[in-house]
Amino acid sequence: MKKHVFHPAVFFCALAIVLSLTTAPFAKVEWEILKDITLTDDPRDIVIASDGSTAYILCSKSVQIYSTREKKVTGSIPLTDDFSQIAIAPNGEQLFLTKTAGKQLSVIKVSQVYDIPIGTSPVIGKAGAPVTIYAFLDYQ
Amino acid sequence: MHPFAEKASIAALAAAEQDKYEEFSSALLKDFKNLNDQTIKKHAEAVGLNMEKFNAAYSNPARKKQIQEDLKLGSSVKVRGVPAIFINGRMPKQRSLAGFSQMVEEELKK
Repeated sequence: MKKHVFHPAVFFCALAIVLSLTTAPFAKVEWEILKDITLTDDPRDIVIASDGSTAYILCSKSVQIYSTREKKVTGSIPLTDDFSQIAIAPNGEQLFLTKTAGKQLSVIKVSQVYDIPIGTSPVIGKAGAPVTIYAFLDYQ
Repeated sequence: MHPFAEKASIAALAAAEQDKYEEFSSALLKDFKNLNDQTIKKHAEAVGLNMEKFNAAYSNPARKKQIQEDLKLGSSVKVRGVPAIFINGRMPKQRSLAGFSQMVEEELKK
């Protein structure tokens, strides 16, 4: 019967070769300034939604909402308190604002609302209805 | 995209030109497993479309372009699969009739 022998020296040698082959090559960072924006309020902290679509900038009196697609501030959440830090839930649906001085946490629910143009798409129902249901279908 | 999805969508736009979108679209959705050129034209005749006008619209390249634009629009609002529903611009969390109804009720209260 054939006997298999495990030799530690051979194993570590093989591991070292694999590690050297899998080490990531050096990469330099290239950069360019895409946009400079003057905010209406003093920025203190910033978080970006995990899908990269929105940046929330905590300022002294508001949270400014920046759309990375539109490359501009598209909205603002007014604040009555003076918060120092901001974080975002992994699903992007809640913002967490903390205030060290007042031992305070504020949780703000956020959701994406798209302005979907109807254009020349077929429409069922009356124009000007209070609720529009937009359906993307493919029939199969 | 499914094999006949684009042609079915073009056909639905062609039916809309004759104000028969709702009937025709419902017929296509019910027969989704059997869609091809023949069944699409069979449904067009069944809902009473003027077939000469329908055939002209069905082969109109502008309709294909419109579908391509709709695909881009879907991508821009993060549609990852179909059917995708938005209620007053919001994507429902619960993809069920009960979930849709609840959202509509909430929107009506605003």
